[in-house]
Formats: sequence, structure tokens, C-alpha cells
Amino acid sequence: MDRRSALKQAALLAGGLAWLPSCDFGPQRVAVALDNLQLDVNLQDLLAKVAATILPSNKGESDETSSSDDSPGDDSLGSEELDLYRFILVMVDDCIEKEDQQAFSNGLQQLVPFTKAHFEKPFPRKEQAENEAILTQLMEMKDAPAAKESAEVSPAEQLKDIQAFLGITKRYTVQGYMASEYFMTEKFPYKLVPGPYQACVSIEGLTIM
Amino acid sequence: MANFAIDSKDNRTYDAIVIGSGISGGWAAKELCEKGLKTLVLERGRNVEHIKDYPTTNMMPWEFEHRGQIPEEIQQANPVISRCYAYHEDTQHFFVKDTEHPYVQDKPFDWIRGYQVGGKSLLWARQVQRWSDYDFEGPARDGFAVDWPIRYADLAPWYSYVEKFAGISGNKDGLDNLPDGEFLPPMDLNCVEKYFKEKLETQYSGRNLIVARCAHLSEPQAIHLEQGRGQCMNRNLCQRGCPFGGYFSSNSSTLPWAMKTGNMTLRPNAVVQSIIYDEGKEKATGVQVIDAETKESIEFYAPLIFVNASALHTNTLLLNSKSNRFPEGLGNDNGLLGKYVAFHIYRGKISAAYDGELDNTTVGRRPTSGYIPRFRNVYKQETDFLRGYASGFGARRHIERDYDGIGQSLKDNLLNPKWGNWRVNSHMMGETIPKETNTVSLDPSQTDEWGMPLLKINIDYDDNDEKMIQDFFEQFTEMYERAGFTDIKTRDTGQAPGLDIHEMGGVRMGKDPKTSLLNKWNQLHACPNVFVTDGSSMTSTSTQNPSLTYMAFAARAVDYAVQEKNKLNL
Ligand SMILES: Cc1cc2nc3c(=O)[nH]c(=O)nc-3n(C[C@H](O)[C@H](O)[C@H](O)COP(=O)(O)OP(=O)(O)OC[C@H]3O[C@@H](n4cnc5c(N)ncnc54)[C@H](O)[C@@H]3O)c2cc1C
Ligand code: SF4
Repeated sequence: MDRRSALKQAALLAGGLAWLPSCDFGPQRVAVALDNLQLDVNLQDLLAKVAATILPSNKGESDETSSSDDSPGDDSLGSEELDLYRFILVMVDDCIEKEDQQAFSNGLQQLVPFTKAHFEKPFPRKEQAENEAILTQLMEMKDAPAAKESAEVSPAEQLKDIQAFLGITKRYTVQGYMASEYFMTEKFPYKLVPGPYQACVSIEGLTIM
Repeated sequence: MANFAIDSKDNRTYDAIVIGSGISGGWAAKELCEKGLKTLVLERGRNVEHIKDYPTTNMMPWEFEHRGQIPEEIQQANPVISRCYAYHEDTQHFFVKDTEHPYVQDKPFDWIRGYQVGGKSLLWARQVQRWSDYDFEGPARDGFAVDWPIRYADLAPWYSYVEKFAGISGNKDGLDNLPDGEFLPPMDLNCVEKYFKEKLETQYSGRNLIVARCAHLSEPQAIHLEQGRGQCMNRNLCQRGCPFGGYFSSNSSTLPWAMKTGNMTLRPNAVVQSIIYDEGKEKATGVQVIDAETKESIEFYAPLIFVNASALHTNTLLLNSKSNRFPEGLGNDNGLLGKYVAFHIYRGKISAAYDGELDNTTVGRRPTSGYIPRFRNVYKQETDFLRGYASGFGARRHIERDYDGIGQSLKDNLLNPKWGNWRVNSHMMGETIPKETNTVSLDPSQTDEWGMPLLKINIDYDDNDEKMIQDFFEQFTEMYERAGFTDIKTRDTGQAPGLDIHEMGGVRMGKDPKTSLLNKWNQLHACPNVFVTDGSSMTSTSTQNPSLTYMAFAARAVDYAVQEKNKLNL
């Protein structure tokens, strides 16, 4: 596959749509309507923040005109521009079992209080690197911190829900990213009509699609 | 006055009636209409017009709200259909939901259905392997079921006839257990499939790997262009309906052809309840129909009736067609209607890794795969189980993506996949033995929304099946090992019968009216103006996908029926 022509084709397909302005977290935002979950705008914003930590944006990091074909990671959009939190919400709302929905929603609600209570710095921070560090630590944590006397839910239970929440969110962030129009037109162009099946092709010079 | 005309019996009388517009009904309709008979095609589902009614056919993956997945609530409510490999967000509108059309499972049976004009012909995997004499001679040689009233030679010209019109891609392989047909150019085997083919053929005798024959226009001929169909573009999104008419379906091929003759009247939303039997005339005279939407009852009449409602529905319909002459269902003098139902075993799967051919890969999509015809008990009985299995076989180069971590490293991983090694996959398609105890019957008390008794299904695997599954695992493990494949994994899916979607029998053919329902022309022994040419007529099941055989039977039976009609024998 000739990457350059594929990109050109993709750009035609996508039109101007791919370069949406990043979403605005101002108070005028309206919550995504959900059937099973109940999450207000603030929690949805928090979810967007988590997703953006999992798949950050690099837009603008390299100079637009020289955006290189060879290193696709250099200038790629992330969760924020692709509004992946919306996809995550739809999938969690429609496509997973009740129990997992509950864990997801508990975990999302407990994320900030938990990091406030037990971490030096709570989530979210300004710096992407800091947020990554916090979420990574949470995902890898084996033992929950000791309970404070006043805690209603034990930290062990909170952590379990937070980890479930992060697992589900990562799964759908990745799926939403790879199945986004952006990824499937500009990064790994999907063709509805791919042309003849070639049964045996040398991989030399071939881009993985 | 106009209303009176529409309602009059004359206006509801045709030369022939076809019940069901799926794979087999489409053929019956085409043949009847081409021979000049005014034909009414009754279909319980909604109308689906080629291209116009394929709502998802041109959608991109990201345009599906759930990226293809069926929401949890729908899956929970419809567990049976949710187990079908082809039931996804892009195809769901062509499948029947369990909740909408209940049936009774005395034993677990995953009944996969498509109610619409075109039936399951929109959904099928388009595999069309001919049956051979080893299949038609099976019951007589091995002493099960009842002898088929025909042999391969009776059907061969009709296979050719339907293959030419439908358009079949395939290779002439010269195998006696899988006869060649009228083929358009074959699809290709890929490098690893070719490698395995060679290993098999040098290390064993009688074990072959070929590219599976499929109902795709790899090179359309004049007859296909005339149908308005075009070249298959290898999209492999066939189950959405193909905008090119690249694969054979009733919707793209037989039904529009029948329509063009001006002889077909197609009536969707018409649930046929029963066939009307006239004791004075000693004939079937018409059908009793309920309008699926208005629930209105209406009768249609014809001297010739083709039943093509799909295997189990045809059983239901005949069982429900009761009269003084036939208190147990139409044609059912011997009490065998609904018995000897059989199916295919798809439980066994085996996969492995191959670390050769690392310089090569495949590009694009292929709407078929490799195929290994039956090699067990073909020429003689040689194992402790009867019959055998054919197998699908496919190889694919793996692409590895690292999903570890979060942040920039995760993103880099997603954007930089690496070539992995090849993996090979195979699944069995085994022949089950029709048994008297595998039955379908009408529930004595429960009915559906349209007043039809619910179908009760009582079908199960037996010891022969279990032995066959073990043999598949053993033989394929050995074949894989000899080919140098590693990381061999066998899996018994444990799936219930039915999910193979190759249910057959219940109205079997045979020579003797005492032991069969249909004669060698698919004609009810006891009611000769009714023909049954779908899967219910199969005496045994062979290992090959069955639908091509239903098509050949349908075309052959119409030819005979019209000759008999012209000789005034019907
Ligand atoms: C996912 C999938 C993959 C498959 N792959 C293959 C394959 O590769 N090769 C193969 O050979 N086969 C395959 N099949 C099976 C194949 O689709 C069926 O064997 C074939 O469609 C049967 O043809 P039929 O005419 O008997 O029934 P259908 O095609 O099901 O048509 C029957 C029609 O009758 C209608 N009907 C039923 N009852 C009534 C009634 N009372 N009144 C009016 N109308 C009625 C139904 O609504 C339906 O439209 C597959 C099926 C599926 C779903
Ligand atoms: S593979 Fe062929 S038949 Fe199937 S959707 Fe594509 S073009 Fe149509």
C-alpha cells in the first residue's frame, strides 16, 4: 500500500472534519444522554480527562507542514479531539453487563476522592506526565492503603472499582481510537472496496494495514 | 365492484404457489415463472429489494454506534441469535430475534432464522460444494436412515444448471468425493494454505486441501450481467447485502429474474398457516394465510404447490395442515413427518501457529477459505464411527500490537504494529446420522402471534457424534504436527445443534411410501401436487454445505412438475 496516496484519498474522504477544535470544558457543555448510567456533566468531564490521559494528543507538537509520513506518532490526534469519552459512555451504557456498569460508575466517582485521600497529589493534575503516573500507579496497585476511620467504603473496595473503571475505560478508549474515522482514514486507511485479494505478497516495503 | 374483483376466488387463484422466498423458494419461483406459470410467492417476512433495502451496505466501521457490537440488553433478551457468528450491528436487521418468534426447546437447539424476502440467502456464507455418490449411497451402504431414491447422476445436470445461473467460483480439482462443477475462476489459496496442501497431499493419500467453491462472480458471464449483477469486488461484507450483486442471493438473482417474466406475484407479510386439502378431489387446492401485519385470514388457490419455507418451517407447516384424510399432517400416513431430523456438527475447532513464510503476507479480503473434503470412511467403513467430516481451513498472518501502558507509549504502540507469525485455523463440518428420536413436533397448547402452534424441537448429539469430534481433533493434531505447526489448540465449542444452520430432514425422500414422505421427484407420496424442495426433504446430511443441493432439487422438481402438469397427470 502506497501510504502517500492513501493519505490523500483519506484526506478527501474526511474533508475538513478530522481537524475539529478540541472540546471545550466550559460550563455550557451538555451531558451525553444515557439510558442506564447516571453521570452528570462533571463526571463526564472527568471521564474525558481520564481518556485523554490514556491517549493524549500530540497535535501541534510538530510543525504541520512537515508532518512526516515516516513517524505516524509525531502529530497524531488523541482522545480529546476525537471525543472518545462519548464513545466510552455509549459502550458502557449499552454494551456491558449491569455489574460492570456499576463498577465503572463507582470507580469513576471514587477516583478523585481516593487520590485525594491516599496520594500525595490528587487526580487530575495539569501535566500529562503526572496524570499518567497517577493512573499507572492506580492500575498497578496490588494492596489498597489502610482504611481511615471515617471511610464508608473500604479503600480495598474503592480500589477494586477504580481499577475496573480504568480497565473498561482503557479498553474502550483504545477501541474507540482504532475504530475512529481519523484512525481508519489517516493512520490505517480502511477501504470498503479493497480491491483483489492477493494471496502471497512480499512484506518488503509494505505498510501494515 | 373493484373490491369484489380483488376478493374473488378467481383473483386469488394462480397456476402455482411457492411458500417461502429463500434460497430454494427463489429457485422454484424462477423456474415456474420461466415456464409460463402464473406463480404466487408467499413470504412471511417483509419485502427486501436488492440494493435498495440493504441499509448498512455502504457504511464505514466508525459509522456504527457500537462499532458492530450488539447491545447487551438485546443479547440478553435474544441469547440464541446472539450466538450466531454473523449476527452483528451491521446485519441484525436480517435475523429473526428469539423474543419475536419463540419456539420450544425440549433440548437446546439454536434455531437461526431469517424472515424476509430472500430468507437466509442474504446471510449465508455462500459455500457451495456438490455432494457425491459417497453421500447419496451413505445410508444404504452404512445401514442408517433409508436409501436415497436418487444418485449423484440424477442430480449432476441440475447442479450444472443452477451453478451456471448462480455463478460459482471454484477450481476443477478432479476429486471423486467432491465432484467438479461449472466454475468461474477460483479464488486463491495463500502461501501457508498452499504449503499445508502440499504437506497433506504428499504425506497422506486421499487428503486434499482445495479452495472452497463459493457463489461469487469472480468473472461474470453474460447470464449474470443479464441479471443485473456484477463482478465480486472482494469486500467480504456480504451479509449486509451486496450492492454489486457479487454473490448469489434470491434477492439479486432468482427473484428479479422471476419478476421479469411478468408471471410472479410476490406477497410479503403472508404467513402460511396450512395447506388446504380437498378430500373430494384428493388434492391440495390452496393455502391458508394470515397477513403478518393485519392478522387477517385469506386463502389462495393453485393446482400446484411448492413448499420452501426452510427445513423446520416446512415440517411445521405440513404438521399443521390437518384434514380428515390427514389427521396427523399433510402426507403423513406413516407417522414419520417431523422425524429423522439431522444437522451438521460444527463443534470442533483447531488452531496453530506457523513460523514459516515470514517474508510474505496477504493483502485484501477473500470471501471464501480453504476446504478439506471428507477423508474418513469414504471408500469403506474404517473407523468405529459412521461417516465423517469435511473441514474449513484458513491461514492468516498475524499483526501484533502491544496494548500495554498508557499515554504516549500506548499510542506509539497502537500506531506501530509489527508483523507476527501466521496462524492456521480449521473447523469441522461433520455428518450426523438422522435418527427417529431426533424430532420436531407441534406444541399442543402454545401458539404464536399468528395463531400457529409453536414448534417443539427435540434434537441432540449422540455417541457417533462425540467419537467423530474426537477423531477430528486427533487427525488434525497429527496433520498439523506433521506440517510443523506449533502451539496447537483444540476447542470443543460445546455449541447446541442448530448453530450450524444446516438443519435437514423431517420430510425425507425415499423409494417407499411406508418409510419416506417424498418420492424421488420431491413430491409427497400421498399428495402428489405438493412438492417439497428445501432441506426438510434431505434423507441424510452429507458433510458438504447443503444449499446448492436444495437449489438443484428445486429446479429439477419444477421441471418434472410442469411436465406432469402438461401431461395432465397433476
Ligand atoms: C450465517 C449463515 C451462514 C450460512 N452459510 C451457508 C453456506 O456457506 N452454505 C450453505 O449451503 N448454506 C449456508 N447457510 C444455510 C442456508 O442459508 C440455508 O440452508 C438456506 O437459506 C435454506 O434455504 P431455504 O429456501 O430452505 O430457506 P430460507 O433461505 O431460510 O428461506 C425460507 C423462507 O421461507 C419463509 N417462511 C418460513 N415459514 C413461512 C411460512 N409459514 N409462510 C411463508 N413464508 C415462510 C421464511 O421467512 C424465509 O424467507 C448459512 C446460513 C446462515 C444464516
Ligand atoms: S465479497 Fe463480493 S459479494 Fe461479498 S460484498 Fe464484496 S463484492 Fe459483494
